[in-house]
Parts: sequence; C-alpha cells; structure tokens
Amino acid sequence: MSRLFRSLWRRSTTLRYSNRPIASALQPCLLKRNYTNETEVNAPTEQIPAVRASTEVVKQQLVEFGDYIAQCLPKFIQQVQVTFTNELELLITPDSVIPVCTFLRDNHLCQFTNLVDLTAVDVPTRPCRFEIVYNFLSIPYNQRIRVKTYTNEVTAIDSICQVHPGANWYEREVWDMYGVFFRHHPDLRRILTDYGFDGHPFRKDFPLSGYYEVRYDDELQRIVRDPVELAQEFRKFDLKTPWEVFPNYRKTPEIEAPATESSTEEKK
Amino acid sequence: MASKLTTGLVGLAVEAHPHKKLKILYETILKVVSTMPASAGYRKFTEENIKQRLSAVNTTPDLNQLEEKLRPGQLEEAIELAKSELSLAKNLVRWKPWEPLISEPPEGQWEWP
Repeated sequence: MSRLFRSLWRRSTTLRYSNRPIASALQPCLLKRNYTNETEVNAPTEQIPAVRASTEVVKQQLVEFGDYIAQCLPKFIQQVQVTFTNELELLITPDSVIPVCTFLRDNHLCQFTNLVDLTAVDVPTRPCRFEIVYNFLSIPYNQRIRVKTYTNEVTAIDSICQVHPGANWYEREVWDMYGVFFRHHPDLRRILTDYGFDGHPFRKDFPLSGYYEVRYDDELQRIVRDPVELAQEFRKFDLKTPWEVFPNYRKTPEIEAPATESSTEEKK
Repeated sequence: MASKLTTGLVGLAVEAHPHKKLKILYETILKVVSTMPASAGYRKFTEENIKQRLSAVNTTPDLNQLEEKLRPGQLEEAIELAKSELSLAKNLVRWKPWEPLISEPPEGQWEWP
C-alpha cells in the first residue's frame, strides 16, 4: 500500500508568498510545455514529447495557488490542503459558498467555470454530519479544485444555482438522498426516490434494504407497499482488519516508557 | 491591421475595437478595486494583474501581439473575462473578503479519517 502523505496548511501558517509575478507562479498547464526539474520550459517537438510535470513541481504550484486564494478570501477559507495525489482542496465556512464559488468562477487567475460535481458525505461522528463537496474544473488552465463545507440535518446552506446553473439537479439529489436543504433553489424536490418515499437513503443510519418493499398484488390488482421482509435475518459483519490501517493518524498516545531502575533505587 | 474572420466560438462575434473596450473595462476594474482597503489580498493581486494587462493593451497596437500577451485565449474571451472580473470586484466590495474569518469549524469537524 502506498504511503499516505497529506499536508495541511492552516491559513495563519501559510508559506510566505514569493515575489515572482503571478503569471509565472500559476503556469497554465494547457499550453503544452516540457517540464523538467529545473524551471526551464521547452515547447514539445516530435523528438522530445511534452513531459508530465514532476509531482514536486505540481505540488509546489498547487500550494502557491492555494496560498493565493487564501490571501484573497481570508474571511471565508478555514483551511487549504493538498492531498497526496496533488489535488487542491479548500475548506470553507457554510455561509460563504456563494462568494467563494463566484470568486473561483470569475477571477482571471482561477476561471473555474465548469462545475464537475456536487455531492455530500455523511460522517455521523462529526458535529456537523454532512460534508458538502464541490468539484470545479478550469478549462483555460486545466486545473481542478475541490471546495468543502459542512452542515447538519437542520441547517440550510445556500444554493449555487445562480453561480452555476448546472448545480440544479445535483442539489436536488443531495436534498433527496441526505436531507440537506438549499436556500433559494429554484425547484428543490425529490429526484431519485419514489413519489411517496419517506426518508433519506444515503444517510448512514438508513438501512441498505430500506424500510418498505414494493410489489404487485394480484388480488388488489395494483402495486402495494409493505414493510420489508428479508428471507434471512440481517447479519452484521465486522469488516475491520486486525492490522493498523493509518499509522500516521493514530489518535491514542503511545504507551509511556516505564520508570527506569535508577529512579526506583533513589526512592528506596 | 488585419482583423480575423471569426473567433471560432459559437455566439462570440469578432470584436471591432478590442483596445477601447479592454481599456475601459480594465480601468473600471481598477477604480472599483481601489475602494477596497489597501491591505486586502484581492486588491493587491488584482491591481498587479490588471495593470500588467492594461499596459499590454496600451503599448501593443497589433492585435495578434496583444493576443499573445493576454494569454490564454483570444481578445474576445479576454473581454468576457474582464466583464466577469468587474462583476466579481463589485460583488467583493459588498462581501468584504478581507475581514478575518467568519467562524472557526466546530471541534473535530475536519478530522480525517
């Protein structure tokens, strides 16, 4: 298993911004370039094709870009991180979805005009259990970015349909599957579940088989809805492995070293 | 000055006076951005970027050379970009992103796994 490496940059302890002009710090990757470990750049030819940038160079560029966004929007961004697969993520407050998405869409150096995905993640152990995730793509710069916010079952979050009209059905899906309400959405109703369906299926406390099953009844000559009856009773498997999975993210502290012999002799 | 026949993009017509439009748009952006406090990160970066582009517009009469300087994209796209940057600047004057963080996340919110 490859070693997981995730770097966290809190806004207050970000890197010092370099004095290079912005245009060179955010090199548009769409323009075909030949990256080497030095900063020299050559146009690709038939003999020497365009080479993918090395991961360190890409990571450094992402870090600087994340730093730039954090400096432009300090009111909204709680954290900026770059995953080990070199993906930039912005963690923002739930009230600031519209300003951040508008900035990412309109700014010259961002131009994230394409909304790729809008989903939610249910983590019941967190204080605000739902994490809303937005994925954007910048076509001129060939760059992707992820924006994450949080909310719970009762708090609403602003809809970004005015910024990205394509978010319409995605937000309907999040409402239907998780129960997250979007303020000022033009038409927030169910999209995947059945018409009289009760509940939000993608929540972790909703069972896999659901609560009701639907079948055709010959006597009544119509579809009927009955509580679900499984042929075999539900078996819960503990799918945990005995080996530790994420040694870098251990929560319990290490066992302290036992007292040495010299200290015990002194006590005597 | 050879103006091109088409932009190649549906719905985007070739601009007859790109210099004039870009100049007006960039100057308006600078004016809007100057109402923000000088320490605002957005103001610093936008002023640097827009001044660079404005100087390119003012010093380059040739359209092809100007397109090269205002990469990526064509001049018509640069005009659209400038319009969206202007609307963004106006919105940001309302939203005031230079202020300190609205709210810290609750304890353990961003913990993973």
